[in-house]
Amino acid sequence: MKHSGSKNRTHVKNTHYGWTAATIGLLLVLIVPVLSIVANIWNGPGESWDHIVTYLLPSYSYNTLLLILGSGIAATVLGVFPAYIVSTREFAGSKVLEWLLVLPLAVPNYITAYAYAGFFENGGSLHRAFDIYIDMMNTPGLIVVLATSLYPYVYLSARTFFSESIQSQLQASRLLGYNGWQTFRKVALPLARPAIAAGLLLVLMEVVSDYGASHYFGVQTFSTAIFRSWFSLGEPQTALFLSAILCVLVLLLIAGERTIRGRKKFSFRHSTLRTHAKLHKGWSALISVAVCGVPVVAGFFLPVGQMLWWALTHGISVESDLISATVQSVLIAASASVIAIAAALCVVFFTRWSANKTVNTLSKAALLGYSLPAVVIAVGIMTATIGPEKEIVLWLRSNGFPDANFFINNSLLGLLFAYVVRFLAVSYGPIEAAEQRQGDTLAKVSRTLGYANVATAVKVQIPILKRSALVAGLLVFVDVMKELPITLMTRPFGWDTLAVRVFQLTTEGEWQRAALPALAIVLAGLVPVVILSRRND
Amino acid sequence: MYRLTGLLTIVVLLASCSSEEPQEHVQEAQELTVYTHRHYEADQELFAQFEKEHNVKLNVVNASADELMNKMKSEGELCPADVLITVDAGRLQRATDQGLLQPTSNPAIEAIVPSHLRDAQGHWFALTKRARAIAYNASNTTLPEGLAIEDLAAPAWKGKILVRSSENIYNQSLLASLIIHHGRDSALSWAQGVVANMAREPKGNDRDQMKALYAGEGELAIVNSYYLGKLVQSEDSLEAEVGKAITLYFPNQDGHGAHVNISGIGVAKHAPNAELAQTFIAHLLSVPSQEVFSSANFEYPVNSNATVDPLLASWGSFKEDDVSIAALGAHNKEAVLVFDEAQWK
Amino acid sequence: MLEINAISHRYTEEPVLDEVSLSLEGGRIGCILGPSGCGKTTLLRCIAGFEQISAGEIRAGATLLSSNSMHMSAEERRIGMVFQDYALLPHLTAQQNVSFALHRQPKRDARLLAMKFLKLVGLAEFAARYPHELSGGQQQRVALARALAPEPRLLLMDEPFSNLDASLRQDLGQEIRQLLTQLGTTALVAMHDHHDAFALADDVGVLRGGRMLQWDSAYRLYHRPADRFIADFVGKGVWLEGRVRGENLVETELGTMSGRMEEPLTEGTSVDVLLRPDDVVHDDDSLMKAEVISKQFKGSEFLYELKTVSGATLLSSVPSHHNHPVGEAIGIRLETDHIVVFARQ
Repeated sequence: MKHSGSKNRTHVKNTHYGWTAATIGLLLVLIVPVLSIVANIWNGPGESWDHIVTYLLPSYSYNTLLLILGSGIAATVLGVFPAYIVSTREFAGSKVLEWLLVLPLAVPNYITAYAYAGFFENGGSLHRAFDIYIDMMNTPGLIVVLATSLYPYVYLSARTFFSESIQSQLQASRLLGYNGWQTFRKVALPLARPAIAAGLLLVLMEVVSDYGASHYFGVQTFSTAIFRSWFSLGEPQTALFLSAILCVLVLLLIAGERTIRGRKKFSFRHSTLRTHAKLHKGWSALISVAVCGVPVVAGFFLPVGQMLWWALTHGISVESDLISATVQSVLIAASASVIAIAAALCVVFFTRWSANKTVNTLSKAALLGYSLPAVVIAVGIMTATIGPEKEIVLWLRSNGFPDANFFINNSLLGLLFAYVVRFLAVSYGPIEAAEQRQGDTLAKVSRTLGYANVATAVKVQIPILKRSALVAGLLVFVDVMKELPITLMTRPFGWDTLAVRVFQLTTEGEWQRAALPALAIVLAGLVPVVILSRRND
Repeated sequence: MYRLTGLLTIVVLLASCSSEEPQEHVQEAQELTVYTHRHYEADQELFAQFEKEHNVKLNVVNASADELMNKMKSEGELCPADVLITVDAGRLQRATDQGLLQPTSNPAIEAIVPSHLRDAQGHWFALTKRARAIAYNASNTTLPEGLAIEDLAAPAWKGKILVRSSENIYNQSLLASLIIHHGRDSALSWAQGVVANMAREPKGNDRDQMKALYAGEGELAIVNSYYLGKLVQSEDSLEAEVGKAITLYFPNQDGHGAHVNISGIGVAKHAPNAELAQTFIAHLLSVPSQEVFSSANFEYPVNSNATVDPLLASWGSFKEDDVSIAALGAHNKEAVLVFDEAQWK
Repeated sequence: MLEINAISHRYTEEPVLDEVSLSLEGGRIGCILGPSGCGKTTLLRCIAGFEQISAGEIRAGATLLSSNSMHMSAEERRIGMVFQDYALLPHLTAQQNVSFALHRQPKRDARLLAMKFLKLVGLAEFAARYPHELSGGQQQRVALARALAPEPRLLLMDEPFSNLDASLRQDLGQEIRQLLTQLGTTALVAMHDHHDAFALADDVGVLRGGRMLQWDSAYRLYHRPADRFIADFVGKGVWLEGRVRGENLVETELGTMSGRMEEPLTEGTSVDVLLRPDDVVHDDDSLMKAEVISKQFKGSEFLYELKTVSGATLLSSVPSHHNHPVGEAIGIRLETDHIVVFARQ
């Protein structure tokens, strides 16, 4: 914002300081758990550090690198091609495939991993039916699992871009005599690079933070090193040090995405007129169906089918604790979504009002939570909050409240806080993007009409962001439904979510019994996922 | 949608209030908080029984032992936990070393638990035992007489051994016992020998090892005894088939005996209800409870008066390695380091 | 050159285009005029090959482009199009954008040709700029150069002036007309403003609700509109009540007017007569007076709103040196070559 009058400027500056302080305060609360981990860089590692560097890090880092590269490339392929096809072609089933392609988002990685092992491995469904089996529980297998369950992030981002931002560029290219494939290579791909990078970043953050699937497949990653030094070696110090290194790695990923996105800033007019030219038939349609169908089958129908088969062999009986677990999961996920939306709105607006570049950069740190193994976050929150909280409780107890107890840790408050820290990146993304698109013209108009910042946000900007906020909330909802480690560790007494039940059963290999709650997670996640894909139309 | 989520939030808040209410009511009555790594149905059954018999409300927190210990450490004197249950001695020993458990002196408990299965100061007690044994398919494999776990490092077994990852506490405990018996260096060369003999990269749990065994991927698998029980009883016909085809072999019968690891319990340092905690431990060690552990979860009872489940009994009795469990715990970390050195995944 | 024969197009049940026909001779510029939502963009997209038609035929010369059973794909049609949002490729410079259209040529030829076309649209010195470094008008020209470069058999332009300001439109309209004529390009343009249309086009059609109401030369459309909607849409004017008084004679409150009528109406028919501002001429000597109600200064002329003695309202455009204050009665005279009349319903 430019202000001409010097009087005006001093006035505005004061407000800026206020908002800068508010932003920093809010960010501190949100990134305290992450900070308490990053701070360990200065504390250094524990005594087994040399051992870890010698024996673990080389192969673990190598595996992590392989996973990042492999699932990055695979998820891009699985996401971008179908996105292009459904935004430019019509064929039998294209409308249905367009939203089916989003469904794998509802299936947690670890469930896909169990299902793949149960389907392909020795003794699995494939083995029983055709007497062949495929080794899945290795690095390539894990890449397949991660890519098939995470590609929708790339798909969603690319599809929105293809069908809403560059429709006319794509059509112009066709008119100039380029066929579909040439148009893809020369126009769609170069222009979509930032959009693809944004989706890919989410995929890679999930890959880096994954523990459940890689643990089950026996693939040792950087996360494994964190768990091993903490749990097997009993050195939380070293674990936190490694987590800090992981944070730096993720910051590098984020920086990479920013450079891809920031190099050239194109703005596109919203053009949604799709072609309805030719209903593709024959080979051309078959190829389209195959390219769009493979990810759906691999990421959704195969794992869900395997779960269904397990559930059926076990015999489907809906017990009351399954219902109560479902209700609790949905309640928790819904509340976490609402809070995550509110937090993201605050971060976005506070940052904007502070109009301070440094604060703007700092605000990205709040997104780190998404990339850290969830357990580390849970521990980070505990480490950061429990000290002061303990003091407060002790003080209360000695000052007339003998029954005072923890109110953050072991309570819903703490659990929800942990979710928000973990999933802020998820709610922040769509809201920030929408806010950027909206620009500040409306805000300026509103301010010339005499509304202050907050009033402007409440009366003008937030209502416009409503749709993006809903999208953000739905994404968080799905993620919380799937979340396991934080829930396991910070949930209050008596709150057993579906994910917790699945975990309890699967750790003992009770796949059949775990299948029903696993399906319930998928089902509860499907509702928002379908709403999401419908909304985009 | 907004209104809906708003409504849901209110409901959650109400629900969380109401869920705390009964706690306040029973404040007068007894309350016991259990931090446990065990997540078996059998446990839930026993917990419910205890609640009923003693009019106590149990708060159960279920997570990995390490997470629970970290929680206990952070919560300090405000920690609500009364007892900590783990599935290995190593964690209990670590908890003891970190000052998270308090010594308990209870003659009734000490009478039940043999001295090598508990901490000398009473920081913890074993609840059940599991044997680390060798599984094989008797229809196509014969194991030599007097096989010791140490022999598995010999080149004769190249490409024949199935075993899970070294991240697993049962493997760590086994290696710790070998370190105690033979020293670090020979334990390391044993681990290296086994790694060289592996039929495939370690993956999956003990069930998976037995399934692979049945499919002919290897000739023998190192597994915990209770997993075989679970296979035999599985609802899945193929798993049950695997379970029936597999025979359990207890190694080292001519020497120090088969390695045994435990699941155990200790009273928390700041337990608000230490006395009730002892009652709880006694409950879990009582003959009926021990028989539930044995029949529902296929673990060997610690209480010698308890009847072993017929299935377990059918595998035969065997000589147990009576190395002190406390010593196993003390050597756990060393075992992990040795595994890493041997590149045992 | 372009023959459109009774084509229909529908997304759902409601047709977007309903039996639209038009024909455009080679080298002529046609214009589809209509309010937004009338279907003009859809018509262009059908011609370009982005939409399929459900009935009728589209031909370019002898080539059949679309029918209900045949659909040539867009990239095979050799039709150029300037999109409403220009659809420039933001990662390419102006020259690269134009070269992009010349991919069938060797690279060097393409570069030279691209420069030639950029020169034609007056942008030679901006060749190295990226689209976001160009003004809206310049982007428009790049888009035009890109569409013209491969020498398409037909050029389509969708609302070419909608994103430009008024002063730019006039000039650009003239320039485009000159350029197209010079190149002998056949073009069809969709627009909503009749001023722009008349400035640019030879033939104009009015589309409403998916139906082509009239397809005619610009002159005839203005002076002989086929119905009231067209008459209102293509220019200002007022309607006066009247009665037919013989061949080419109509009696109104302003006297009897003479002029050619499109369709002969029987004597005595009640009609509405359209008077355009240029039909009402200011003449100080005239006996017929009308009072100035309001006036709009248009630069070279005034548009006066007048009230006659009998109470009728008229519009008159008058050279701007005749400046009369509001309230003054001025002399007027009717000068009608054609009389646009429609029988009153």
